[in-house]
Amino acid sequence: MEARPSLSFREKSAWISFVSILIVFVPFFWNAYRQFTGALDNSRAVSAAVWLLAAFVVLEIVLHAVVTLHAPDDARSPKDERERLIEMRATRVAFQVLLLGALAGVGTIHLSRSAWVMQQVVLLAVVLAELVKFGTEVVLFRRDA
Amino acid sequence: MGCAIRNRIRALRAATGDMTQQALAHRIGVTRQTVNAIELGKYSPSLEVAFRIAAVFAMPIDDVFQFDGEG
Repeated sequence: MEARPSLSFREKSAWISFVSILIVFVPFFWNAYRQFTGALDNSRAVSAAVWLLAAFVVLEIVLHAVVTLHAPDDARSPKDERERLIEMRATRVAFQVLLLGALAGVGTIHLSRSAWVMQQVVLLAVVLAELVKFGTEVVLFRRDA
Repeated sequence: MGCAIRNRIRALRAATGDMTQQALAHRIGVTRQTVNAIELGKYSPSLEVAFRIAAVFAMPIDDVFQFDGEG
C-alpha cells in the first residue's frame, strides 16, 4: 500500500492564495467600512490599504518561493489535464460570484450615488470571486486525493 | 469526479517491479496526485492519458481499464 500522496504544487499554491487573500483583505475591507462610517480618517485608511496590498504581494511571492524551493520540479512542470479541469470548474463558480458582485456594484448607484462605494463593492466582488476560485480548487483537489 | 471506470493500474505497477506512482506519473506526463486519483477511481483520465498508461504496461487499453456503467 502506497502512502497517501502529499499536496501537489498547484494545490499548495491554491492554499497560499486562499489564505493570503483572507489574511489581507479581511482587514482591508474592515478599514474601508470604518472609513465609510467615519471611524477612520481618509489618509490613514489609504495608507493602511497601500500597506495591506504590499503585504499581499510580499506574502504571495515569499510563500510561493518557499513552496517552489521545496519542490522545484513540481513547480516547473506544466499543469496536467486534471489540474486544468479543476481550474476551469473553479473559474466557472467564481465567475458567478463576480457577476453577482458586479450587479451589486451597479445597484449601489441607486443607493448611495457614491463612486467610492461602488468602487469598494466592485473590488469586494473581485476579491470574493478570487477567494471562491481558490477555495473551490482546494475542495476539488481534496475530493480527489 | 467519481467515475464508472475501474482500472488495474495499482496491480500492474506492483507486477512491474513495484513501479512508483511518481515514476508512472513522470512517464505519462501528469502529477503523482493525478495518478493516485485515477487509481482510486476518483478521476477518469482522458483517452490520451489512458492510452499512455496502457503503453507503459505494454497492454491493450481494455486490459488496464474496464467500464462499469450501463451500456
